[in-house]
Formats: sequence, C-alpha cells, structure tokens
Amino acid sequence: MRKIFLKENILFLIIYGFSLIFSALLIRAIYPIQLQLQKPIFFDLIELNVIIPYWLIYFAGSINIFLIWMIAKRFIIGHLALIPVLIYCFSPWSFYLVVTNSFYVYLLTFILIIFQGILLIKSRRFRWGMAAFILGSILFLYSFVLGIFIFPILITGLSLIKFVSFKKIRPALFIISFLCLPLLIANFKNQAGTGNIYNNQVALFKDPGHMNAVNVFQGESRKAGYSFIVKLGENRYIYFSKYAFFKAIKHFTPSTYFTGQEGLLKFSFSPPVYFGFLIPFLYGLSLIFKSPALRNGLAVSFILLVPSFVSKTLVNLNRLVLFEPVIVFVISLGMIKIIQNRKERIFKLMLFLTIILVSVQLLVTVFDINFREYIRYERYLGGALQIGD
Amino acid sequence: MLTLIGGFLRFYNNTQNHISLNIDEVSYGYSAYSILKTARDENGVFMPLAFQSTGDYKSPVLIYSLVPSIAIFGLNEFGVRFTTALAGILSIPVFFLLLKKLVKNINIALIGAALLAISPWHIFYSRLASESLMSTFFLMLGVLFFLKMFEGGKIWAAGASIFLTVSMYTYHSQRLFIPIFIFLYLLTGFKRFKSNISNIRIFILGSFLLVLPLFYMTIFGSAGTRIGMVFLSQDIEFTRYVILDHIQRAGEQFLLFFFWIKRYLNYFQPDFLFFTGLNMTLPGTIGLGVLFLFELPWLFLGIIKLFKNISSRLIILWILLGIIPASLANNDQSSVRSLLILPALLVIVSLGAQRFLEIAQSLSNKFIKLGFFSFYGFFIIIILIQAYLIFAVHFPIQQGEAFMEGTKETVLYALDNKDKYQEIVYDPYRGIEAPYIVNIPHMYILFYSKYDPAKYQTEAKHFGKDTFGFDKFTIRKIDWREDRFKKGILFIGSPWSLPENDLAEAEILKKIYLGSGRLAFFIVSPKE
Repeated sequence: MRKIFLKENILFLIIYGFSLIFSALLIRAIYPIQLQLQKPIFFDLIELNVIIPYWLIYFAGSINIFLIWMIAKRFIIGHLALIPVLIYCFSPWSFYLVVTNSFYVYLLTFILIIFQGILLIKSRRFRWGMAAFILGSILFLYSFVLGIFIFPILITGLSLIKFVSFKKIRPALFIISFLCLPLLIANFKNQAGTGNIYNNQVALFKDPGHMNAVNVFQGESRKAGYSFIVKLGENRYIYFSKYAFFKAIKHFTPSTYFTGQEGLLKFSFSPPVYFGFLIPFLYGLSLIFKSPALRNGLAVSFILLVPSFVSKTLVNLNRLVLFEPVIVFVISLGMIKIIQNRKERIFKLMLFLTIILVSVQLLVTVFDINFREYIRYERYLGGALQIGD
Repeated sequence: MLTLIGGFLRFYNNTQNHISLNIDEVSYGYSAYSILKTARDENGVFMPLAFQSTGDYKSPVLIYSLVPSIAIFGLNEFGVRFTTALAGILSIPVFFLLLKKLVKNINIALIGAALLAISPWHIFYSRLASESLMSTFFLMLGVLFFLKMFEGGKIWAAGASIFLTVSMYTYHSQRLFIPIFIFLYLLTGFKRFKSNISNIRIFILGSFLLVLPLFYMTIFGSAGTRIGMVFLSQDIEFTRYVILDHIQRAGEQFLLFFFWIKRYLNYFQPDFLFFTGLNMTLPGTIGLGVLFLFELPWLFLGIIKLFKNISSRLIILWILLGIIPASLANNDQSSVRSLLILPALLVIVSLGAQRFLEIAQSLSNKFIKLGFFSFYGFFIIIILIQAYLIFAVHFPIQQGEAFMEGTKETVLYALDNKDKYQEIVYDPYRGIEAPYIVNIPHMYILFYSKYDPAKYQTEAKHFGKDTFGFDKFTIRKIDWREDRFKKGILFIGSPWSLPENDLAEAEILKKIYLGSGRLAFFIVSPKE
C-alpha cells in the first residue's frame, strides 16, 4: 500500500513538473501580456486598491492541480485518479490564463476548495470539511459579485440531487451567512459601487449592435409595409431571447472546447483542450446520460457557465475556465472506461486515436507557441499588453 | 400538395429576389446561350466538359441544362433560374420517396417532405442558379436508386451509377464525397450486400466508365485548377493568422490539419445550423440558419432515435463525409458547399419531429397538452414570420451588394447609350465599405446585350496590364485624375474610383443606389 501511495505521489510530481515546464514555455513566449487585473469585490466596495498579485494567481494555478487530484481520488481508485490531473495539465486552457494572471483561475481555486470541503464532509472528516467549505465559500463570495447567485444555486442543486445532505452543511451555511455580514454592509453602503461592478460583470445585452440590429430590422420591415407583423416577429424581446439562447447553446458546442474556434485570450490558435480528448469526452458524455445520478450532477454544474454566459462576447474562455474541471472529469470518465475495456477492438482503436491525436497536437502546440504565438498576438491585438476581460 | 407549396416558395418572384443575378449566374447564362447559338462556349471551345468562364472552370451540367430553358424563356433572370427552381421542386417528391425507403414509415416521409418544402436552405439555393442544388437533387436520386438496387433489378444499378456520376459532374463537392461515401457504405455493410454482388458490379462498372472523363479532366486538365484555387491552405485566416505568412515553415502541415479540424467542427456550430448560416443579414446580426430554430429539439430527438434505426449508418456517413469537401475549402461555414448534407440532416430532423409528436401526444393532462401545442405552434409561427421577413425584406436590402445589385442598371444604361460614346470604361472594383468586390462587368455586358457569341468568340479583344476590352467596352481601374480629361468616353465606377467631390454636376449622368439607399455607382462623362 505504501509503495502504491509513493508511486502515485511520484507520478503526480512528474505530471506537475511537466506542467511547470509548459508554464515556463508559455511565460517565455507571451510574457508580459496579461488580462485585465481585477480586485475582489469587497475591496472594490470599500475602495481599497487591493489587486490580486501575480504570484497569488500562479500559486492558485498550482493549488488547482493539487485540488483536482484530491477530488479525483475520492471517485477514482488507484493510478487512474491521475488521469484528470494529466488531462488538466496537458490542456493549454488554464495555463494560458495562469500566465496572463486571470482572476478566474483564482476563483476556480475557491470553487474547488468548496467542492473538496463537501467531499470531506461526506467522508466524515467533518471538521476539515467544514473548514474548507466555509473558507472556500467566504473567499468566493467576497471576491466575486456573481457569487451571490452562483453559490446558493450550486449548494441548493447539490442538496436536491442528494449529493450532500442539507442538514450536514446547515451549520456551515449559518457561519457563512454571519461572516458575509461585512460584505452585505459594504454593499448597502456603496450601492452605486455594487451596481457598477455588477454592470461590468453582466454585459449580456450591452453590445449596442443588438439594439441597432432590432431597429434596422424594424425600420426596413415597416418601410416595406409590414408594420403589424413586425410587432409580432421582430420585437426586441424576441431578438434578445434568440441571442441569449444562441449564447447558451455555444457553451454546449464541442468546438468551443476542443478547437481554437473562440481563441484563447482572443488570439491564440491553441485549443483549450486538445482535440484528441473529444473521443473520450463524447464517450464519457454518453455514460453520463445513462446514469441519472451523473446526469443530475452534470446539470447542477451548468451553473458554472453563468459568468461566461453573461459576458459581452459569445463565449468568454477566461470566465469559462470555472467549468474546465467539469470538462476534465467528463473526459476522465470516458478515458477510464476506455482504458478498462481496452482489450475490445473498438476501445483499443479509441485509445490509440486519442493518444496519437493528443501527442501530435501537444508537440505541434509547443512548437507553435515557441515560434509563432507572440507574433500572432501582435497581429490580432496590435501589441496592446493588456487584454480586456 | 407539398410539392405545390414548395413550388410556390421557389418560383414566386424569383426574378426579383434574389435581387440580382450574381456573377456565377450571369456566367452560366451566357455560357448556355453561347452553347445554344454556336455549340461552343464563349471562349470558342466546342461542347466543353469544364467551362473556363471567368477562370474558375465551371462544371458542365447546370450550363447544359440551361440551354433549353434559355431557348424557351430567353436570356434573362427567369431563363437562368428556371432549371434550378425546377430541380428544387422535383427534390420534394424524390426526398419523400428516399425517406420512405430509409425509414419505411409514410408519416415520417411526409414530415420530411414538408420540412424540405419549407427548408430555408433549400429555398435559398432553389431561387438562384445553383450547381450545388442541382447536384444534391441528382445525389438524392442516385442514393434512392442505389438503395433500390439491393432489392434487385439491374435498372436500379444503372440508374444509380448514372445519377451519382451526373451529380459528380454537376458540383465539385460531390466529386470527393460520392466515391468515398459509396466505398465506405459498401465496405461497412459488405456482409449484407454479398447477395447483390452482380448489381454492385454493374453499378461500379457503369460509374467507373462514366466518371473516367471527369477523372481525366480533374487530374490532367483544367478542372483541377479550381481545386488549387479554393483549397484550405489558401484561406486568408490560415495564411495570415495561423502560419503567419509562412514564418517558420516547419510544421505548417500539422497546423493545417488542426485548422481543418476546426473548420470541420464549425459545421456543427449552432450559429451555422440555426442562427446565421445562410448569411442573409448583416454580419453580427441574427438572421437565418440552415435549419429553423424550431427544428432544434427535433434534431436532438432525431439523433437519439437515429441510432435505433436501421438506416443510421448511411445517414451518419452521409453527414460526416459530406462536410469534408466543404471543410477543405477556403471559406468558413459555406452553406453552398455543404448543401449536400441537407437531405441527411432532414432525415434526422424528421425522425425527431415524429418522436416529438409522440411525446407531446402522450401527455396525459389535456390542458398541459393543449398549452404545449399552443406554445410550440406559436413559436413556429414566429420563426416562420421572421424567416419570411428576412427573405422578403431584409435579405434584398442587406445583402444586395453581395449579389452585385446595381450592376444590371449600369450595364443597361451603357447599352442604351452606347452609340453616343467612342469608349465605355467600367471599373470592376466596387463596394460600399471598401472597393473589395470584383464585379466582372464584362459578363453582365455580354448577358444583357445578348452579345452575339459567334462574334465574341472570334473578335479581337484587347488585353493589357489589369485591362480587358472588347468592342467599345474596356474593363479597367479608373484613375479620375487622368481620366477626367478624356472626352467622349463614358465612365462607370463606384464612388471609390469616382469621388463625388471631384465630379462636376454636369458630368454626372446617373447615380445608381442600392436598396439600402447607399450609393453604389456613378455614371459620368467628362464634359467639353
């Protein structure tokens, strides 16, 4: 047992080491490009200029890898628990965002801490679980204005699907509510500030192009003599509903995650997750649809799509990194089943294709980052060192 | 009944909407006219299998099919668009028969035929002269005959080989798709097909013989030129932003492979399928996808039902392979190049629609059932209203320029006043935002003047650096700083080459506006 434990730790350290090399390569290629730095909401409301420092985001990025391993070990036995770590470390997504100091990498840490806390509570390590759950929740709520919607819905969802007993976490919820009082007071004292922060975060319909489009459509139709049916078919409620629906569906499209369609940091050709992982992803998804418990869990996790959904762009990969662990775990589920059934011909083929495609794309990506990524950034963004949210 | 509805939607006002003949339509029309009059194309080649046209080597089938149409209706918008509209109408009963053969259920077949009759994708391409639509029509016929040949009868095998090869002659996408599709379909179901080996032999032999000339043309002749022109490696996004104009050439092939995967998966994006795929409205706005939004839940239900259906292999292969030719071209999400997957998509949507109705009808509570049907019915009506307004109102205004709106008016003016001028100079570059659209006005001149093909084939044409001319017409860039002093010449150009501030009022003979109200052309002549 001790040997196995040591072996797993060594393997984890090896994978972690590779991730550091990849990060170093990225830093060498694209530093000092950075995303717009953000302050935790609490400090913004009390008008204290506290910006998350770079080193904290690098630290958060490292902690995320560790937390994913911890969570994986709760569900997966043996070496296979390293598969989610492997997938996470071999996907460019979070690494690009860590290197460019993304606020959402920092937020992801708290979500993972919350989840790990719930798992510890379930496994009867109650005190540690409560501590992690409370700490993660407080830091999350104090950092992120949308946390006030996401956190309750997430916890309610997990309770409804019976993933965690509401009775067990009730004491923690009371403590969290109590500890949130300063935040509440800060909100009331600076309502204008709260409004500004909220408006910056929620920009779903902020693009003036939408209203212009509605006006153009209505103007043209009225001029053509269709005044009556314009009110029915081309009013702004219908247009905005269609747009919102369109945005929502984009978040469920494979090419968003497995190709460079949306452009990491708006310029990269690297995909968030390597294309080869699409095969175990689709297989994992089919397994999830067959299991009511997994299906319900997946449905609850969709709340993590909200920050990207309410952003100004169709898909915001920076905000969507909150959903990356879900993608990783779906891929892992598929991958593990493929490995376990690898003696069958079809699974052997799937495994072979996955490994080949991921390996080739990894090499191509590393080479591409080294030689072309910075030039690509200059062509797309004109050399502006700070990229907006 | 469905065919009649489909016919109305395809024929009604099709000479005015799409708003103008585009470059390809004008080329098809004049080439067909030239064949009609002289049995040669406009470059003098006798009965070609690839029409040089504007240098893009067009496929022959559509052009030859236009010959009787132009003979009957004349060289005009209706004559050019008639054949495709007819193929669009005939597609409806053919698809009904094909769907009935695939799913063995007449209700689903009727649903599918209805969906095809009102399909925005199919209607869009039925209303203009389209190689892709004609090719898809022959493809459906070919697949129908192909499936029937397994029930016996050599006539079906012969018919399948004829229609599938005609489809390949009609459009480029099918040349790649059909051989791979048939091969993989036969390979993956070989055990089942062993009993029909004689029909398969007839089919393969017939197809091979019929496709030989095409194969020769593609590999050794001019038809292969088109492939080089449109291949993915020429894509601007790829060259400029991925390989960065060939900086560090090593590894470009691998980048091209992953770029292709991105383009391939883009055809499964919701924007292409349901929101903007037909590009009928301004960029950045929500218009019409290739499918209606109300078909989205039917598509999902259809995918689930498909795996339980015996024809799933054919449909899956059809879609997955059908996107390959389109994804290898230098356009992102091209609705014309991917049109060949429409029948397969509609099979899935039809299966899903039937399942959707079953689910709705199984609702036990009468009020919930009524509410559900009312809500969904209202939703369908809203989407259809939007589609109608996009087709009838917004598309002609917002995308008129893409269909060369205004060119006809300039050409007609030039032809009406030709005798007053010693030369007519036409600047081929136009565009409201920037002069990035190349007009190819000489084809419009040939078309609308019904220029004698025999004369055009043999008369001397003048070529120069970026200049082309015949008769009194010269196609070149206008440089108003010098051209303003040339009297007795008519100049036609966009405001980019004829800046309004530089024109005297007396020199402006006519202004041509688009339906959007924006100025597209000036027709001017310097005064004494």
